[in-house]
Amino acid sequence: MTSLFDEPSTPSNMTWNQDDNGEAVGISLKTWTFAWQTGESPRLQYGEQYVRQVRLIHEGKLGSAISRSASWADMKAQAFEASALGPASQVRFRGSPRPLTSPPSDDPPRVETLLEWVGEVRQALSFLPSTARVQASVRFSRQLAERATPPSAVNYVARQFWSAALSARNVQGTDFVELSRSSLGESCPPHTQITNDIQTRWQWSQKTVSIPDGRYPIVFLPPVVMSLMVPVLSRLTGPNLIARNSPWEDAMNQSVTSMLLTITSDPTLAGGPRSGPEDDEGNPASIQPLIENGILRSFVLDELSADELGYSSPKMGYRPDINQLPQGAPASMVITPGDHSLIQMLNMVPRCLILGNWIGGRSTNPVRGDIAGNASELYYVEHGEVLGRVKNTVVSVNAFSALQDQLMAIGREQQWVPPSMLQSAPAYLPPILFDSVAVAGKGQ
Amino acid sequence: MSEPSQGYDSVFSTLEDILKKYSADSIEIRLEINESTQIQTLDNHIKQQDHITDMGGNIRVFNQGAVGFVHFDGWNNLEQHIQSALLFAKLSRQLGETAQLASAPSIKVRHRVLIKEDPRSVPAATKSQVLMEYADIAHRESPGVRAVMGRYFDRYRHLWFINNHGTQVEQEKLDLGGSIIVTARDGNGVAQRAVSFGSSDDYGVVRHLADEVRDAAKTAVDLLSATEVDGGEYTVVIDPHLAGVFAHEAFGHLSEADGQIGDSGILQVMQLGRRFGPSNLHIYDTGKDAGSRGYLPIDDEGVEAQDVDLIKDGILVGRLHSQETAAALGDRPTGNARALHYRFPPIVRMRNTVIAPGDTPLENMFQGIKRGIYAKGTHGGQTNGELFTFLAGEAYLIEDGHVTKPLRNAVLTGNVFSTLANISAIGSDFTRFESGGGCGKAGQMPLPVSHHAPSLRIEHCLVGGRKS
Repeated sequence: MTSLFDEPSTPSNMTWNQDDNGEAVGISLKTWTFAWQTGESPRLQYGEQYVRQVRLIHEGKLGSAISRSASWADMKAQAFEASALGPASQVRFRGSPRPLTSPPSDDPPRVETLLEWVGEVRQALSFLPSTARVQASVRFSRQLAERATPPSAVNYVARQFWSAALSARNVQGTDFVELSRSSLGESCPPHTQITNDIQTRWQWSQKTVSIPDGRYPIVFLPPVVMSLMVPVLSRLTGPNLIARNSPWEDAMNQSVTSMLLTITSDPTLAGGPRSGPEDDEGNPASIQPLIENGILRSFVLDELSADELGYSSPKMGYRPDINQLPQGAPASMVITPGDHSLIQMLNMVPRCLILGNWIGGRSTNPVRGDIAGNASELYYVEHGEVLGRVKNTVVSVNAFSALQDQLMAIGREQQWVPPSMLQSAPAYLPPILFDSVAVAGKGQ
Repeated sequence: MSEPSQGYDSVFSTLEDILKKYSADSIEIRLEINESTQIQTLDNHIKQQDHITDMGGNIRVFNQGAVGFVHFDGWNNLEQHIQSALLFAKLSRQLGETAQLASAPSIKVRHRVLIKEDPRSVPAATKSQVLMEYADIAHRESPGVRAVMGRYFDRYRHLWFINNHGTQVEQEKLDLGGSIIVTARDGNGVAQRAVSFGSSDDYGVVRHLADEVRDAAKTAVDLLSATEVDGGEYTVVIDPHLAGVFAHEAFGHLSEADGQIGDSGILQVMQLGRRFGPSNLHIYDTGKDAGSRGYLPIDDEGVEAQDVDLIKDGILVGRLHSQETAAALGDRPTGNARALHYRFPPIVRMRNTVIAPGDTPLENMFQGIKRGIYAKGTHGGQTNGELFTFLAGEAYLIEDGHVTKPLRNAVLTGNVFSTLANISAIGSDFTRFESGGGCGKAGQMPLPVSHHAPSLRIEHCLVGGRKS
């Protein structure tokens, strides 16, 4: 019974023929997580996964196979079979130009670090009322990919990072105050980085104010800025370019946003889940400007998409998840910070709002960029002073109009926004002040 | 792939022998073999076609109020994984907070899914061809259609669950679905409409979508010239598809008990017996609806499905539970503990969330509305318990009781509690809609769920739009 599954073998066991054009990748992912929520059992979790992927091009067509259990020989046969129906491709799979030829250390993290982090967070949140419910979790992830290409090249890509998340909710009647913050790091993120932020916003939320409908300057905090980056990515990535859905398909080296905006893909940021010397297709990774001072400089493409579009590859092929094949995606999506502190931005205009979170803040049509979200964390500011929380309000914006015509200032304090269920790329973003954003509410 | 038990007769006896060696309040072992197909097409090209197999499992230990969980690929080293989970539970106790599991009757069940047409017997080439034929239909409908993306998946799971309280469940699960996304583009911009499908027992649902695809192509082109909605408060009529998502997002998630325990404020708001809607409002969650994607006769804690009334006669009467949340609130487990895959522990999730039909014919729903919005279909929704947002797939202006012109970018939002209270009519047009999407929670996405509902009319609904 315990031997129903053959022991994992490495992709170096793959037998290649002389004229094969393909890659075999074995990816192991180990995660240690400690999670706690008020009223529930604390839970320490460990998981290990091992996924095998084969891609090859046979008679000019791509075939692939993914499995957690099949042998390499079976997967190669399966990929060959799939190539009969696969898309045409001229890609040549190559070994890494600067291979890491032996696997790195696989020591587990210090488990006590996870337990201590949650314990310290609980203590630091003593300012919250006893009615508040807290959820805290901290995780260490380590991924090791071993990639083999014909005839016998093998190299390793190792990545590891910490992530931490905290949310606090207090419900009084039908009024919910819910604040959340998360972070990433190459070491366990200091809890003060997160708890201090929650404390500040908790204080802001204690009063409620009403405002009339209209258009307001709004400071989007980093998680909300990410909502605007999703439509931007949809115009930059392969599927919409190949389908000719992207209005930016002919806009290379043209102005597409405010000149204040520079967006890069950065694989060098410490703590980034994809940071490292190579992308997931064995290409050397480097900082790539996507939009530079408002000018479109690069699409976000993997090897296959670049080949299909006839472009040179910008070498941005990353797996959204170890169960998926590489796709065009930034390493970490970074907005170059501006010069302004949050306080300075709030003082740039006589009155404004701060949008910390919204429900449903995603586009009905990402390529078009229209977004309307129910503001779950919105604060009203006059002359730089936060006067209170605004409720029952919808904030509506078009991502592209906002980034082109309404962008007033970019903050200097960047923050990690980890990938999530609806957002495939990690991001490192500052707050941004936008002018004249539509706000509609029911009032109080 | 094997039928239940075929070739695996020794699984339970082996697991029983292993469990006898260890002691804890609760030890669960779950093993799975999964097989899935994923296909993506663009117009008449196959973009991706994968056949994926998984084999693995997990161990969950509850001991002295704390939890240890280990998941793994392959079926090796089970005893080592149990020892790790026991150690993790012991370490977790350092935090001091404890919880218990509610007892559930021990069962020994082998459950086969009864399949009308098995997707595993349909060649991948045939599945791809169907998607590409729909692309051709959409392109022929209108030259304004720029691209048609097809997405199809099927997943077959064969599971073995055992715990140290005598429960042994071997079951099959089938889930399939997908969508045909039609994109139209002109000088005004881009518009999309999607046709979605899903089932837990029949590949046949993939066929016979031609009329819907033609309608999606026509609507996508119409949307290019649609006016952007003016933000503000409206009376809205929502179709059964959107009403089902409303039941799921706006109320179903709030009924999941893991979102309530440890939160005295929300427990007060969600006190059973409180009025939540009009007297003809009946919302329930069921795992017994064979064929729906939310079909779940036995949950991932080995608890048999219960039908759970959430709102009956407008009154809050129930919650959705796992064994842990049931113990915390003094209720019985309801069979709502679900895990997307063996990589995840089971958490409280909906299955098929249903609004029972009312008695208002659709044509009467618009009567007396001077200026409102008729919203059909959805691109999804989200909630935080208090607030919700739905992205309408299509929207039309209602003027003086008549549906007049299409609108773009209609996003319906509101406060869950006031919106339920503002339901002013429940349609008689009850519809069993099965989408190809899924529910996301705690990183487990997309979990197959269903929502069946009639049309609803809601007063004072807040609609987002840039033209405030």
